[in-house]
Amino acid sequence: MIALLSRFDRAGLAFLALTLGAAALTPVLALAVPRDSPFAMPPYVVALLGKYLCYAILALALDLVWGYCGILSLGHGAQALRAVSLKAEIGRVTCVLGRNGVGKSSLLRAIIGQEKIARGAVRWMGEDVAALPPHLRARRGFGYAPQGREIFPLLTVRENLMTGFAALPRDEREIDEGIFSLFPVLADMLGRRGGDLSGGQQQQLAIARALVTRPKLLALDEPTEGIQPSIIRDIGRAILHLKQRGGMAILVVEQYFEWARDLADDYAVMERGAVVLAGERKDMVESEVRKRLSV
Amino acid sequence: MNRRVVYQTTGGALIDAKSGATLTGVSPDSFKKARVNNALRRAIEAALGALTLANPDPQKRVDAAEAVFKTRDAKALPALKAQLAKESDPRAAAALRQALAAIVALDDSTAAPDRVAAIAELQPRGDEDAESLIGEIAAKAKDPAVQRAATAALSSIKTRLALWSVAQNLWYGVSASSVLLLAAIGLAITFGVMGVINMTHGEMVMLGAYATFVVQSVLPPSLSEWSLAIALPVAFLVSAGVGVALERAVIQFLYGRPLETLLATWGVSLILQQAVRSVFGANNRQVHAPKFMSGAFDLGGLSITSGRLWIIALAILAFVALQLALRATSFGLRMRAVTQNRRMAAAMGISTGRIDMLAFALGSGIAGVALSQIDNVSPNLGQGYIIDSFMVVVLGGVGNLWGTLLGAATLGVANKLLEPMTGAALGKILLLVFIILFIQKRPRGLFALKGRAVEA
Repeated sequence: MIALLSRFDRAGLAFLALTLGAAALTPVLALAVPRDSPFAMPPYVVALLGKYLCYAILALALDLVWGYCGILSLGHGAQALRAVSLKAEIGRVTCVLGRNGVGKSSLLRAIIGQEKIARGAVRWMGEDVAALPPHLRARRGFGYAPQGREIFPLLTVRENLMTGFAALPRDEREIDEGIFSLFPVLADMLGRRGGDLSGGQQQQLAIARALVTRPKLLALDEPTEGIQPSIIRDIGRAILHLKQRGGMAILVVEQYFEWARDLADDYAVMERGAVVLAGERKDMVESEVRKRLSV
Repeated sequence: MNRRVVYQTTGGALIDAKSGATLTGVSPDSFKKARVNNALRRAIEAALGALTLANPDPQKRVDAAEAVFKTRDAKALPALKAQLAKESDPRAAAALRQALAAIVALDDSTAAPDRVAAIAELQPRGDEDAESLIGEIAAKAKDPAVQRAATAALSSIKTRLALWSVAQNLWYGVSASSVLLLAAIGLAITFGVMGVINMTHGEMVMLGAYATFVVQSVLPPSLSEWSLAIALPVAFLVSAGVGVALERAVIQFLYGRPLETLLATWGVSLILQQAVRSVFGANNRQVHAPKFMSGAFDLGGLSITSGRLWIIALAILAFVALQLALRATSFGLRMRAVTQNRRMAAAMGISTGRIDMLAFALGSGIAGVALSQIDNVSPNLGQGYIIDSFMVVVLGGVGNLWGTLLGAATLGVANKLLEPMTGAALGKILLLVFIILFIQKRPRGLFALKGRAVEA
């Protein structure tokens, strides 16, 4: 039974409980309640419950078959991170480098709460936030611009920015003018749908959107991916400006080595789910890092 | 023979009909009872008609003229002519002229030109009464000129009536669309926006209707005119509450699992139906429409019931309110964000679980007000709406309220226009076939979203 149970995720378990509950309830209702009591169910209700029970068992069976065949199974993914120790300090830019598929994005997602971690801790201002859902971490000051930007395509630029209000107390819900001086192009496009923007504009919007929540940790996942050089430079300038303004830890996951090197105060290099090199940029041995980035 | 007419009051006193004087010392038995035959009846009716034709109330005069138009009693002719000569009210005058024309046109003894003129007078009236009258003339008249005029007038009236009947069906279609829209618009949120196949949606409609029934039953009669104003919010709250309970108890564990959601919610819909059947009984219960919603009026050849008019107003109101809620409130913005990218919405600080719950409450609540003004409620009333509602949402394009509006309008009107030609069952089948073909051609429905935004 335990082996069987382990094949279910939470939804499967809920369904199992529902089914077993109905299974237990039907004969009780049919037999245990005396015929003449006011709680006695007419026979057709019992028949109805019985029928529903059959369908539920059928669904459960289908679920099991699907589970075994691996169809529709909801990713019980492999372990992506093994030995990770990383520190992001307020007022500094920390760059995480590494080849494709070494777990950089998984690390960011674990930090902002999109992936659950099996062991370990995510400490923020003295509190372990590992058990908190993502929206509560956002309210504690985690801002996130994901890989692939993930702009809300049918919301306007202004509405995209306004989604960040959810992380703010009611009386602080406004878009900082400073955001538009960092990314002037957005100011002209407030009415356009997010999905109609170009890749570079979307990246700027994604960072701006994270900034609306007034984050204390800004997590950027490959902000230069697929973007023309002039905008990459703009984004770099924006990040430096944010660092100088202070009050914010900036964590950048990047594959574009030179750009990240020029930006970073601290760096970490990942390989196969683990941080293998880390330290301050001024102590970085470039050849050692390059060796771990080349394919 | 003593020819005196006397009538007896309910008090038993005898009164001389001619002088109005009360007779004393005479036994009722000494009089012979007047025998009522057709001749007497006609005489009395004509006298009554003439008297009402002269009634000081113009509306009464119109009614009397209409009555003469229907009976076409030639004896009313002198009274009609007399009244027409001194008539000041234009509506009454028109009614009098038509009654006059009806008698003249039907009378074989009048000269042909007069009858043709009378037919010309009758033709603009253009309703069923005029049709049957002129049809009678066309069939019976011996004079060829009269017959020609009658046949021409008849065909013109027939075309006009056919047009009005199409318009009437259109109106029925619009009215059916509005109920469909109210039922489907909530589903457009839960199914269209959140992607949950909620088979209990029809039961939300049913629960709202029962909430209205309960409100009407417990309110004192003095408040019955206001029952709807109280019932609407109550129905909304009841359905929304059940919707939230359902979402928290069952659906939230099944997001992303359509088959299980369908089965589980279907089971819950059976349970809800049975629960209502156990509490209220299996029979239909009557919901009374308040006075301002009952009654009807004519608009040209259309007969419009005010109840339907109110339902349409309610549907439009619900649609506008929902659009506003989605476009202009922070809840609406968050809901749209969750719809478009759940994970990213959570990362922006939006509590997705709470938004799901509220969206479900909104969708279910709107379903609850859908039927709260309709006359009969029964436990399986929701069943009739669930399939239609899904068809509307799929036809309109998933996740788009304007599509839902257009889908409801299309289905409702098409259904009512098809029904007189094909019958209800075949009409439904034809519509279903049409929708299947349409979805083959345009899988995203009427209002497919275009542009870079969709692929992003």
